[in-house]
Amino acid sequence: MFKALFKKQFMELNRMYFQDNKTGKIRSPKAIIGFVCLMLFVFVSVGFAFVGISMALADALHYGNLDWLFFAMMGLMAIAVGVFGSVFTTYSSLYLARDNELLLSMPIPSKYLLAVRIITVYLSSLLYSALAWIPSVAVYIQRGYMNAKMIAFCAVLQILLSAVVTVLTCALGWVIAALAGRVKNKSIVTAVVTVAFMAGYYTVQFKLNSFLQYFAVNGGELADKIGSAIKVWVYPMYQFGLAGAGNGKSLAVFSAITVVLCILCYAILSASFVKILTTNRGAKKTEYKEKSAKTSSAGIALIKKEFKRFVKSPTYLINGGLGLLIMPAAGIAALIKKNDLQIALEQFYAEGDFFKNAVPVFAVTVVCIMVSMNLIAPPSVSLEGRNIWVLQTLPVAAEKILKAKRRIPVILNTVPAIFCTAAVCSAMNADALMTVSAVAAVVSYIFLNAALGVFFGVRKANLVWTNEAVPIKQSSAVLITMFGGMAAAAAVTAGYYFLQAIPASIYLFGVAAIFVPFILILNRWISREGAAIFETL
Amino acid sequence: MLKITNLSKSFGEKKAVDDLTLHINPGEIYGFIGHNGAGKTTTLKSIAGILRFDKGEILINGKSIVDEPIECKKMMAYIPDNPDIYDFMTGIQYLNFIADIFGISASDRQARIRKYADLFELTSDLAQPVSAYSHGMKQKLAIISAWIHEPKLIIMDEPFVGLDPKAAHILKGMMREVCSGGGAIFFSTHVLEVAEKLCDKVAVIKGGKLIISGTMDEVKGNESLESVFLELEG
Repeated sequence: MFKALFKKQFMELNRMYFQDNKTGKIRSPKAIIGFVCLMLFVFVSVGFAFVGISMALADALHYGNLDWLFFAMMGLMAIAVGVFGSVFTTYSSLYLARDNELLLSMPIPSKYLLAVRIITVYLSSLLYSALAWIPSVAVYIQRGYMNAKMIAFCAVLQILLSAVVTVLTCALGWVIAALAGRVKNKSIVTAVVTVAFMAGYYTVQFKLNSFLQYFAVNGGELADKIGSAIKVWVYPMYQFGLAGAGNGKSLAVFSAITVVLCILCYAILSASFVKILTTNRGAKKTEYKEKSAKTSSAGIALIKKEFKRFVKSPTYLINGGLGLLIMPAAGIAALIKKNDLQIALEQFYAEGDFFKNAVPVFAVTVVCIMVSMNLIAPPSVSLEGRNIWVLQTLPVAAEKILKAKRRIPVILNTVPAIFCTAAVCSAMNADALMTVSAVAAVVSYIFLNAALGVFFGVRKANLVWTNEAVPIKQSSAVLITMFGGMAAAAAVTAGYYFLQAIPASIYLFGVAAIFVPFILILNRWISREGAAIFETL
Repeated sequence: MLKITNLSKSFGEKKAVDDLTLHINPGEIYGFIGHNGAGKTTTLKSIAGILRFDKGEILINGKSIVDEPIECKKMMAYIPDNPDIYDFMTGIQYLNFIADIFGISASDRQARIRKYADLFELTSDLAQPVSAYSHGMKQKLAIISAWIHEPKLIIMDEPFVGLDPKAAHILKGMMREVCSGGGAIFFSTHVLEVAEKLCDKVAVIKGGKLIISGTMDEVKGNESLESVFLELEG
């Protein structure tokens, strides 16, 4: 039975990545190789950030005989990354699958059901924590600080680390589930808990950069302080660090701690699993009172429908709209910290003329990357799911439906992105022309990103899913759009490296203009081929 | 009203619908009968414009569903066998969404929503999210949304499944009313007693092929529709 459940879970994952949604056949080798290459690119790109951090810490800690501290610190970072990556989908993966009723109606012990779902969370945790852990270990190996025993221990620690991440994300998912069952508006609770978590995560990330700078100056003294703090506050991570440094006894201790944590977590989740799945307290019934009806045009009705879809799903809201909060926050932070920013920029300008001129261009790239994080359009087609018949039978052209899907990210992104760009330009004392050119480039990018999202949303549509986190977070449409969008944003700064003779403001107007033909080509494809595909999904 | 000529549709090697020809006139309630997998849903989806077919022609009031899909869809409504409706909307939001797409005026939609929601005793639930609806309530909402724009042709796939006896009775009355007003209804059903009592004409499909069609008398003669159906299914 467990095997059958396990198989079912993996059939879903397999179908998502390696099978054609329509025919059910395995994708072509070319498509699979392309997907694997994309994943490797993502892995290497993100991993490079941790290579940098590891290189900053490795030598000082190794020569200070503090190898354990290196592994403990990198382990903590891997846990943070793992939890950050998995936490958004854990609640829906564990509790909100569409096949809940079907599976609960069968003679399946709930412990099997829970175990299979936890395994899925574990795989996600493994993937995300490896993004930080593997580069750290690789740096230590490259430096020649590791022997075969340490490498083997670090491989085991990766497995254990993922289990710890799984425990933490499952615990958070359980808290959300327990709260959501008791409140009226589940979306808001989930969103608030997640945003609170994210605020904490970004605070730690922000502090980490300051820490690394401080560490470079006060390495020894700081290492002692951190070492003592880890021993006192996160003792298991002390054992973890020692295990990474090759201590067999510590590996056994950390393994035991992990096993105990897993058993505890499983027991707690198991005790309430069926109760959470089967408890439907329901919302207080709202009595319908007839009001004078307000009419809208078909186009506005479609936009309103897309907007409702977006705000009514906490998973969609968090994964697709986080940048909408970050952009105004970044803009306000830039205005408040204007003086600090000016000081930092002065140091940056000292690096040379290119750096001086490139700052506004780089700022545009950063805002564009924030826009690219708002993945509203790519999952919007797949999210139609079993409701697709509604749109397909209505007397409205598919082109119009896809236009509405394209407009939502444009409508939602434009004001926060313009505010953020203008605020950053103001904090940098940029002149009016520069501000206008930066805003033009960002707005042009918003249109490009929205079109790109719908393009991949249609091409990679998957209407068959049991958990909405699949199209929202794990679909190839989302991944390709996100990294494609980030690449386009990065290309803005990279392009300036070759065209630095041009004033930045003129260059940014050029960027805005260059995006236009791409937007037109994508929009043309969406309204012709894309509409034809949508009609037959 | 609905003219299906030589319709064929295959899924891989399997012929789901094979050279089907049917004409449905204004004022007719036309039943579509066949065992599971006979090709009923494929035919209905092809008419509704949500499934491309390989051969043949489907005309709605003289307009081709392939060449003029929007014009055709303006004239008809489709209710699938499983009414999956946006569960992120409330009932009233869903009805207003459909009314907006069809360009129904505020006063007309209000009057029609009031009329049909009262008939189905769904009025007090209209402010509830669709996610809180039972299967039958979703079916009622799908029916109201189909009737809200007064279509000339209504295509329904197993419309009585999930409806309580009172709602089923009301639906039959509504179907008759549409046909009295010059509209037409084409629906599939497994409930042969309903088809026998309600339909003016009936078609039986087997393995994608039409095996018999015509008025109820032409099809069943003096026998019951059930015995004719079982005999034909052989």
